[in-house]
Amino acid sequence: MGTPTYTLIQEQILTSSQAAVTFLSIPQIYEDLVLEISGTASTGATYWMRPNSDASDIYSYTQIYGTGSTVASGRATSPGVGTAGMDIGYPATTGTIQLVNIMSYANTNMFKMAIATHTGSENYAAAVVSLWRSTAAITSLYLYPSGGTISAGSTFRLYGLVA
Amino acid sequence: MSITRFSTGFVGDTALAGNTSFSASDFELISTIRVGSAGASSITFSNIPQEYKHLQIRALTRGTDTGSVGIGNQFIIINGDTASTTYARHEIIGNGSTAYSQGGSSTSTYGNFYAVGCAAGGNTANTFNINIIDILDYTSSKNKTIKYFTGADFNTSNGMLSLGSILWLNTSAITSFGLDPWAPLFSQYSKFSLYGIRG
Repeated sequence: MGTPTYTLIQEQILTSSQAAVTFLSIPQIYEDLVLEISGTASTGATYWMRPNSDASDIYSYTQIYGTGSTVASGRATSPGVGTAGMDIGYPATTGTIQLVNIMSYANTNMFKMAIATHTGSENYAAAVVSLWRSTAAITSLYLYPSGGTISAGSTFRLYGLVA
Repeated sequence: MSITRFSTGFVGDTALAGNTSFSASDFELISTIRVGSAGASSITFSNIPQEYKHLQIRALTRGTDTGSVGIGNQFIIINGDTASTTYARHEIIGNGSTAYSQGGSSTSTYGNFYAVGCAAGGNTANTFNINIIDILDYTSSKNKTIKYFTGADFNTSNGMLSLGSILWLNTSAITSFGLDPWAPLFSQYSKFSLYGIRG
C-alpha cells in the first residue's frame, strides 16, 4: 500500500493525571510530524518537548504572545536555560490547544526545528519557534509541563506527513 | 471509505479483495522539491492541479548569503506575475525582544514585495527557516488570499517568527507558485513540499 500523506501515528487520551506524555518508536517514514494537544494542566506552566528524551543544554526558542492587553516577544538561548526542552506552549487550568509542527524530524543534515501556535483560554494567544541543536533523527518525544501535572482528559495526537 | 481516485504515479497494492486496504486521503502530496549541492536560484511549482480546494506549502529555507544573519527576504511569484502591482502583505512579527507589525494596504510590484522569509547563510550552521503557507480557494474567481506562519531560532539574537497574510489582487486560478530568495541561492537541503487539500 502507498504511504498515506497525513496519518495518525498515535493518540493518547489521559485517563488520569500524569507528569508527562511520551511517544516512543516514531516511524522514520515521514517528513514532518504534527502534534496536536488539547487539554488542561493542574497549574499554568510551560510545555517542554524533549526529542529522544535529550536533557542536554542545547535548546533555544523565540516567541510572540498577546495577553489581551499587551503584545510582546521573548527569547531564550543556551547555555543557561536550554536543558528543559523545546518550548511548545503553555497549558492552562481552564483549557489550552497546541498545534506543533516538527519539521524534517528524520533528516540528519539539519538541526531539528518546531514551530507552534498555542492558546491558553485564560491567559493569551501565542506562537513559538524552537530549536534542538542536534542532527539526530527524532525517534521519540517526551512532553512535560514545567510545573504541576497534565490533567485527565487531555488528548495528544501525533501525525506524520509524507513528502 | 469509498475510493474516489488514484493519483498518477500512485504506488501501492491494488484495491483487489484480499490485498491490504487502501485509504484515500483529503490531504495529498502534490510535489516536493529538494535543493541539491549546487543550490537553487528559485523554485517553482508549475502546472498545479486544479482539482483541490486549498493548497499548503511546507518549506525549510536557507540562503547562500554567508555574510548575512537573521531572516532574509524571499519573493513570492504567483503565475509568473513579476511585473504588475498586485501584491500586498500584512504581518505581525516577534524578534525575541519586540513584537510589531509591518506591511501595508498599498500594492507593490514583485520587485518590492517579499514575504515569508529565508534564513540567511551566516546563521548557526544546520538551521533553516520554517515556512507554512496556506492558499485557500486557489482556483476560485476571487482575489487570492494567502496565510503564512514562518520562523526560525538560531540560538542567537537573530531569530524571529511571524504570522502574515498576502493578497494577490488577481482573480485568476493559481496554476504556479514560486519562491525566490534575496540571497543568491537557496542552499542545499532547503526543501519545499506542495500539498493539495480536498474540500
